[in-house]
Amino acid sequence: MSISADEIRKIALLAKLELSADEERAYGQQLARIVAYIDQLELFSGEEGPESAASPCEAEDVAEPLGEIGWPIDNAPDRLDRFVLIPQVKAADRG
Amino acid sequence: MAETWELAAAEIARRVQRGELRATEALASAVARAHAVDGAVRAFVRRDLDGAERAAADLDHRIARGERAGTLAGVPVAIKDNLSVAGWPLTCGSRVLDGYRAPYTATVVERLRAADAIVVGQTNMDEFAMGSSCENSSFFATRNPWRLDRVPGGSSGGSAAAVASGSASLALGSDTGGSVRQPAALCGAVGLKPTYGRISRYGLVAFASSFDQIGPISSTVEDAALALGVLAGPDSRDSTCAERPPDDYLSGLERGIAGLRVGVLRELEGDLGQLPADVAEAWHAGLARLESAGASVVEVSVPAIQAAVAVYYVVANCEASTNLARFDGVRYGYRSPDHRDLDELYRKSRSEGFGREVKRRIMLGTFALSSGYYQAYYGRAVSVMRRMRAELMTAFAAVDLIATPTIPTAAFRIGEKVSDPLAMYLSDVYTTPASLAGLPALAVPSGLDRSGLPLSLQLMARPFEEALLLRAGRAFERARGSFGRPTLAEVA
Repeated sequence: MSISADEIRKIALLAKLELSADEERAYGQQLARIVAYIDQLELFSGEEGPESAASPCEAEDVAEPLGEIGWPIDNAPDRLDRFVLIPQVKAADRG
Repeated sequence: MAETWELAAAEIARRVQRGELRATEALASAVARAHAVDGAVRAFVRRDLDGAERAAADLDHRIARGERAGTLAGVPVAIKDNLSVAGWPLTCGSRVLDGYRAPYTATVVERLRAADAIVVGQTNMDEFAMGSSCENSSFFATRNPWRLDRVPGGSSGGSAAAVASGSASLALGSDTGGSVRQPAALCGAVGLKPTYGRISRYGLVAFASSFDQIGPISSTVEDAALALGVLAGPDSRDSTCAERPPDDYLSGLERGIAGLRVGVLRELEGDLGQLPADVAEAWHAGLARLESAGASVVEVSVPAIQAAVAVYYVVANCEASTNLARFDGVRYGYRSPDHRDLDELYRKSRSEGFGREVKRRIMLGTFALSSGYYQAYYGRAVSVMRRMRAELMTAFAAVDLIATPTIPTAAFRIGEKVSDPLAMYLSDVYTTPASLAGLPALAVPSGLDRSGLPLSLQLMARPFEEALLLRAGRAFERARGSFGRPTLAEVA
């Protein structure tokens, strides 16, 4: 199976990762090889085809802009512009 | 006469309990050994020598006052860098957790301390436990104490190397698809992955929650049994931890395996034919040792086991891609300084913070969960996993244990498989089945290959039959005879 550059970019977007062009190329090749290996699962699965048992938890993966996030920001105990401010949880003195 | 750092954990505990050895002496010996060799091996990412010295001195004072010492009295123990200790840095071998300090202590660390073990520091690991060579750490690559140009295995490579090199008498690792057993095997140590739910995971950073288990790495089977007795048992803070109380893992340890039935998998025969000659010889010699100890070896069939690696790399990476979504630059550790909005903060923090292998696995998991591929990959993998579990339990109706090699090769060269992730994944071929089925499994050194590198036999048992598993491991260890340690003469 081959994985197109567009698909790699879409997966990266869903995973909240930013890939360089070199990384897109390398991951595309590696994932295609790994997925080809994983495709052997077909030999061990039952009668159900990929389309016959869609899960109810499956949703369309559509990238959308963050847009206005109104009420969570308004309800936040502390905020700065469009951001919720949270207490610092990492140590000040880096070990 | 053996140096103190060469003693097994059980022997150190016995001597400290009897007052024949001070905990501070045991610690000093391990620290001196680490000072001599760890600059070359690089098992530790950080040590807490002040805290360890205070704990050892306190134990010595309590023993001097006539108090009874705990099960692991004075044993220097190393823990993997994905186990929380309140106030300590916790990085999982990753830049993304840079600066993060754990706000609470893992149950396993509390139990070690309650048993009077001395926790000496945190060991290197493949980033977020993703790897089979310990080369994926953002800090440095750990080296195999048997030969420094070889990997120690992974992901708990630092823990295995610490035990093998004598810098710690016992170590904790975590095992998702083999990450305790595989490095133990490559480093000539004993590695135990307990039944899913046997040991609390409270305080363990999650990789794939359906499979993650904490397990001990030790130099003997008795030490693994001793450690399991301390670590196992219910924990109200981990809802996945079994209610069942721990068994007595020590009392039957020397009872032998006469009359037990050991299964070998028909489906792996083809793979076994591809093994390097000395690995195959060690495998057949291992079976002969089990027979000489009184067990019978019989063939069993688990057809779906041939898909174990494929199933594992789908399901584990799907879970990893969701578990690691929390590392977003807002709540933990590293935050990219260069961002214009929140979305970019997430993307840049994750992209700059995660290493190559973690990103690859997040991509693979995200792909398998994405619309249009979910059923073809995740759904199908879960279905095959269920089938494999059922087949394994059917096989266990006919046998008491199942044996395989732990690993298909001895330790490979550092860098040898870095550019070929699939080849790296395939080194988990024998360890993933027990992970997928939640079964306990034990790696025991079986000998050395022609170049002097350790090889290993794996035994699997039914759920919660760790006592039987350890008994069989001990019988195998006895039949094998003395194994020895790497000398590290070139650096010590």
